[in-house]
Amino acid sequence: MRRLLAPLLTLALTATAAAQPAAPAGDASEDEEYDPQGPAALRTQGLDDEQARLRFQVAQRLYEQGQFEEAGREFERAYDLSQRSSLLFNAYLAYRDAGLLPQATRALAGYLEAEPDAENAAQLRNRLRSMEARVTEQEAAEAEAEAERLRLEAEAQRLEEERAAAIAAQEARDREDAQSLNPLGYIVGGVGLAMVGGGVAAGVISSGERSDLEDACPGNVCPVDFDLAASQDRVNAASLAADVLLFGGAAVMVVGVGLLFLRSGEDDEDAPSTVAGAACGPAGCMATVQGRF
Amino acid sequence: MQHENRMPRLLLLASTLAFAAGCSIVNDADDFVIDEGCNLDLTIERFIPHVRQRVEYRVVHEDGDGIVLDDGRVTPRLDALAVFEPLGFENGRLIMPGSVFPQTSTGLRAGGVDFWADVNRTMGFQFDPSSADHGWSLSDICRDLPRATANVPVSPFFADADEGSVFVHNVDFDDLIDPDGLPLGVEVEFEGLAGGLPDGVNVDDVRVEVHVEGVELPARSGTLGEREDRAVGFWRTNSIRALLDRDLILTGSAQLPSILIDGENYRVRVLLDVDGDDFFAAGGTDRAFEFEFPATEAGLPLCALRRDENGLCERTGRKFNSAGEGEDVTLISVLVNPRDEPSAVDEAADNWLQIIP
Repeated sequence: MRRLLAPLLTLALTATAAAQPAAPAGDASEDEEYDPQGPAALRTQGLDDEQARLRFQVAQRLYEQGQFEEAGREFERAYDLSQRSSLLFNAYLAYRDAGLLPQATRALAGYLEAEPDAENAAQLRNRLRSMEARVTEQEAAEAEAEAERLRLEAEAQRLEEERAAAIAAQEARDREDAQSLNPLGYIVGGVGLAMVGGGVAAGVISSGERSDLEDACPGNVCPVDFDLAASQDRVNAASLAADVLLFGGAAVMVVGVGLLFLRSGEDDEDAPSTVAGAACGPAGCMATVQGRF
Repeated sequence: MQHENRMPRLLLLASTLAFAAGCSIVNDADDFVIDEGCNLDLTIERFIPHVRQRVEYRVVHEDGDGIVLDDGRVTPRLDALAVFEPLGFENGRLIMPGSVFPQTSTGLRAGGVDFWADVNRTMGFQFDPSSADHGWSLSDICRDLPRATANVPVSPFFADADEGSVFVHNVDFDDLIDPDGLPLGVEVEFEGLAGGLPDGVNVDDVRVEVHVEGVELPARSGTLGEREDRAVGFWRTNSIRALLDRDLILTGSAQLPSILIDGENYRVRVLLDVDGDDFFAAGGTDRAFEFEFPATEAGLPLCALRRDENGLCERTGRKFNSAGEGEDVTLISVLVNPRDEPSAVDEAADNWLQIIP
């Protein structure tokens, strides 16, 4: 439909602008091709100065190309230059076709204000009222949407702030945990370290005893009157002590290090924070620890 | 929450360390053993300079009762004696089961062997730079032997050659100390053996060995109540006629002085290598004669075996002593003649010497 009407509109606007002086707004009836629903209804009266005419031509070209919003603006500028009310009607049509209801309403209102006695003024006023109502509704909806958008933005910002606060609080707790290690860990670790030290000492004693034994028994063969059993007992006892203290001490140290990072149990009053134990048997010693991290 | 997953791993680590503490050791002394002595197992090599000379092995150890000599050395105790008259070979291995004593006390000489060649033919050892006998001393010969086989009686023909001591002849001579011997010795007299040999056997070629073993002697460890059999004497000649014809000190007899403990029982086995293959084989022509007796200075239990006109079984011989001076001591005489009933040859027990080509 628009393609069919565009040549007619062009012909009408060009012929009118070139052959006729600008007509007053009340001459709208003279436009034999006026159609309030289509581009052919564009008003051309009063385009008597060059600038306005150029604007009109640009607007006309834009309209033909389907750039209705830009066409509407050019019609309004042509109106500002020429004060031809028909240009407002043209702007109304262009804005209407662009779907820009507020601008179309404004242009139509301007037209009716300039041409209150236009031939179809009553019809146009009814349309204007309908359009104004729709604009009002649209503005209200937009306002409501804007309000919702602002509300959502505020909510998102609040959530982000809460998350940042939670992270900061966790980091603060972690720093606090790191700085406040479980003192039981120091105690157990110290005991383990002392055991390892004792193991080293026992190992040195054992090595010394064995060295003495090697001196007395070259080639690991001892004289008949040598009390080998007693010497073996001394070496083996020291070796056993070294074994137990070294490995047991190492185990206790590991437990101590683990205890250092155990929480103190303040978060849960029902459960004990840590339970540690140690036992020795024929197969060796064992240390255990239970707790919550 | 994720921290709770660490607890099983921590407990596993602690348990592993505890297990390791019970199963690993830093040190121990279980690889030490008490010296138990060993067989004399000595292989000599390249002894060609001494093939025709008398050679004597003295198995000795220090028992703490030795005499301190002027030069500070201490006389050892004679535990066993081996005599070759003459040596008769360049390379050979001698095994005397259980003859080497353990080291009795720290600082004392462990069981070893002093051996020497009678270069100057005086029958006694002289360490003289101008006309010396050649002597060598090996101490502590048991220490490097495998303990499990150190005292297992075995013939050198069947023993692992790597388990004994090997001595290659050299000129780095030692000044041997004459050991303190026991007051009793043994003499084996040969009488009429040539007539008892099978036809065609040249008595000159008959190799004769005398083995003397203690029967249930007090154990070398000194532990009260423990007893053991062990070799105390070995004597060898490779030509019995040469021995019989020799008009020297040992004419017609083999003497092993100072090796018998008074009151203990001994077994003497005389072995004749009739077939001349340097191996005492069972079931062949080789012969063995066995005599067992209690050694005593008071009684002469073997007199019944003797057929000498005086009925004496007692002779005097030279005892080893620290001064190297002769001392008359009792020798238990054993007379071997063709009328004695031969005993069976035990190859594994009777072959103490292996001559190595």
